[in-house]
Order: sequence, then structure tokens, then C-alpha cells
Amino acid sequence: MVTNNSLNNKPDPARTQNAIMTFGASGALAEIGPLNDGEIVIGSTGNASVAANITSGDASVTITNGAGTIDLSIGTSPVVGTSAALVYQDADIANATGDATIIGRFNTEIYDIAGDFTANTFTAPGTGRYFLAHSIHVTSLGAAHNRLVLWMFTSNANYYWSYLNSAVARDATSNGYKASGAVVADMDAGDIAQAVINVDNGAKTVTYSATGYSYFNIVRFD
Amino acid sequence: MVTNNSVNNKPDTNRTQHAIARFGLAGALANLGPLTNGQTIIGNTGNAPSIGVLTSTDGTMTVTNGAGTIDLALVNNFGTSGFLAYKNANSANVTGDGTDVQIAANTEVYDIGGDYNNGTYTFTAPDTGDYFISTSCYVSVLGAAHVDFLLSLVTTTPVGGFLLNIISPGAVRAPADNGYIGCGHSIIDLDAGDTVKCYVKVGGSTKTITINGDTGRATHFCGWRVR
Repeated sequence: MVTNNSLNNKPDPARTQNAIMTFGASGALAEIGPLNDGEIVIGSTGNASVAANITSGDASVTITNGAGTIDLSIGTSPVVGTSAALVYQDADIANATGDATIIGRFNTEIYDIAGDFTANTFTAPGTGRYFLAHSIHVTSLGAAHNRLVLWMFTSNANYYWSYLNSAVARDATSNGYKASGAVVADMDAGDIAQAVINVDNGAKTVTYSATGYSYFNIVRFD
Repeated sequence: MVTNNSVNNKPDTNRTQHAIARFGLAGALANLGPLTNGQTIIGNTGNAPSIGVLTSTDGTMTVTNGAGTIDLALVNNFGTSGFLAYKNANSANVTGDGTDVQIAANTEVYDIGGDYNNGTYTFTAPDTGDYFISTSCYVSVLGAAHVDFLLSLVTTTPVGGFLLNIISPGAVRAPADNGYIGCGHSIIDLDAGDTVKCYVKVGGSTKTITINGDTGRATHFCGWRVR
């Protein structure tokens, strides 16, 4: 005599192949599924568990479901880093400024994700905030070169990072000066950024130096 | 006569409604669960399967469990807080005698998260993390006797903050307006509620120094949460 819900291991057309067994009311067997690719059994407090896929409502996780597999990866990429460049000048440029000529030269790309840097100019691919940093080294400063301005030109605003009497501030070895700065600037799509320096009030004899790198770094933040 | 593997569907007080059926010792049916919201079946080598929830012990992922649902999201604090503000007008005779002056970056370009107060010129970290902070300060009317310039970030943690730029500004002042611009930046670890302020001090002479400000953003204060 059968007294409980043990199985008889005989064909039963009332059951669905590949379904998961669960206990229903009064301990009777019931089914979950069958499970489709990537589905798992997920609990539902006080109710029967269900067969469902894992989700990522904000798409920050990509869930790839296969036959008996679930693969997780970083999903919709945030915009950060979709545009970025690091460039520098690889050779001195003699007689580059000194007479108020504004110059920013970066002829070598270390990387240029998305190709937004060209001809010493970065062009924003979309509206957002961009990390902009640069450092420029000049040498052959003379006694008359009593004003140096290191600045970042952008279409929305300029950011000034060094302004001083370079004739006094120059070092004794190369008559040089190096300055740098950084900001997270607002840029609109198509806006440009140029990292520049000008030395004023003397002859155009100041060298735009590659020694120690004059570089320009851009990273899109949002 | 029983002809198939149907259950006899007789009340069985050993079974729990909504539990998953598994085979136990000697092929007997056994309970697994019932599962609560978000729980799933997870293998346990050599043992009965376990029921448990997905976890992210390093906090890099948020797991939200619902009735029959599991939703995953990456935790990304980058850029959840950020600001750029500049000083929009000159302030004359504010330092030069060693007075430490808070830089009044009173005009916001952006303020993600609303964590910058442009009345007190103070950034308050919304949460514990790492923050890029930069500032630039344009001073003018320097004389030869102004031999000290200190640009600093004053932070709650570490107490005292960071000195970004120090120079004898009178010696290197640019002609025309006798000006100097100093700047600096750093990535700082802040705790929730920590504050950051920018200060500039010019010393060695009289209180005749102007802190310049205009829409050109020559004097500005910027921050961005990076982690």
C-alpha cells in the first residue's frame, strides 16, 4: 500500500519533461519550468518559486544567457573614458615664443581613444565634463621675458594655471620654467580645447621644450 | 494499482508547500526551501544543494532581490559628485599681511549632487571616497616685499589639508598688474561629511593684494568624485 508521495518511476503524461519539482499544497508535487536558457529558480517569499532570468534594470551588467550558462560582464559602459588622449611634444621647437606668440604643440600621441585629438586641438565628441591637464616646459628665457602665461583655452572658458615673471623664475641651468595645471571643464559637443603657453615682452627666442615632456592629457568624465 | 510515477497526492505532513523537491537519502524525496525572495539553488559539492542569495562581498555590485526576481547593478561612484565654481569679481585689499583668505568661488558652472555651497565656498563630501580637487588663484597688486604666497586646501581629513603652491610672489610678479597665478591639484580621500575649502595667503607686507575674479575663471575651484 502506498502511504506517501514517493515516486513509482512509471511514465506520467501529467508531468512536463525537464520541469523542476516543487511541493504544492498538502505536499503534492508540482512543477517549476521547464527552465529556458539562463533561467534559474528564484524564490518568492510565501509563494511558489519561479523560473526567471537574472536582470539588470539599469543595464550596468550585461547578462548573457546560454544553454546551461549565465555569463556576466560590465554592461552599458559609462561615458567616462570613451574619449581620451595623452599627447606630448617629442622635439624642441626653437624660437617658439617670447614675443607673446601663443603656442601649444603635441606631435606624438601615446593614445587617442576615438580620435578626437588632431592638429594640437582636442574636439569634444559630446556635451559633458572633461578632465583637462597639461604641462609645458620652456627654455632659453631671457631677461626681457618678464611675463609667462600657461593656460587652457576652451570654447566655454579659459583656465589659467601659471602667470608670473619668467625672467626671474627661470632656472639657472637652461633658463627654463615648467608649469602645469588641471581642471574638469564643461564642454559642449564640438567645443575645442587647446593647451597653450605664451611668453611675452621679449624676442621670439624662447624654446618650446621636449625635455621632461610637454604634454596634454584629456579624459571624458561624463 | 499505481501505474506511473505520479504522486499519490495524499496529504504529507513531511512536505513543506513551495519547497523544491530533491532526492535525499536512498532516493527519498526531501525538501529544499521554500525559497524566499531572491533566493536560488546553489550547488554545494558532495552535499545537498543550498539555497542562498547572490552576494557581492566587495560591494562592487548591488543585488536587489524581489519576488521571483534578482536584479544586478554595478556600483559606480565615479562622477556622482562634482563641481566647478569660479570667483566672478575682484576682491581688493584682502591679504598681503599674512591674512589667510578663503577663496570665494561664488559662481557655479556645474554642481553634480549639490555638494558645493557657493555661499560658504565649501565642498562637502557626500560619502566616503576619493575626490579629485583642483584650484587656481590669481592675485595682483603684489609688491617686492610680498615674499610669501601659500595656496592650500583646508580639509577635515586630514586635519589641516594640503599645501598646493608656495612661492615668493613679489619676486616673480608679472608686470602691468603685478600679478601671479598659482594652482594645484590632488586626489584626496575624504570621509562622508568631510569638507574642503581653498585658502590663499600672501604675506610679508601690507594688506593690499587683490584676489582677481571674472568670468574667465582665472580663480576657480573644482572637484570630482573618482571612487
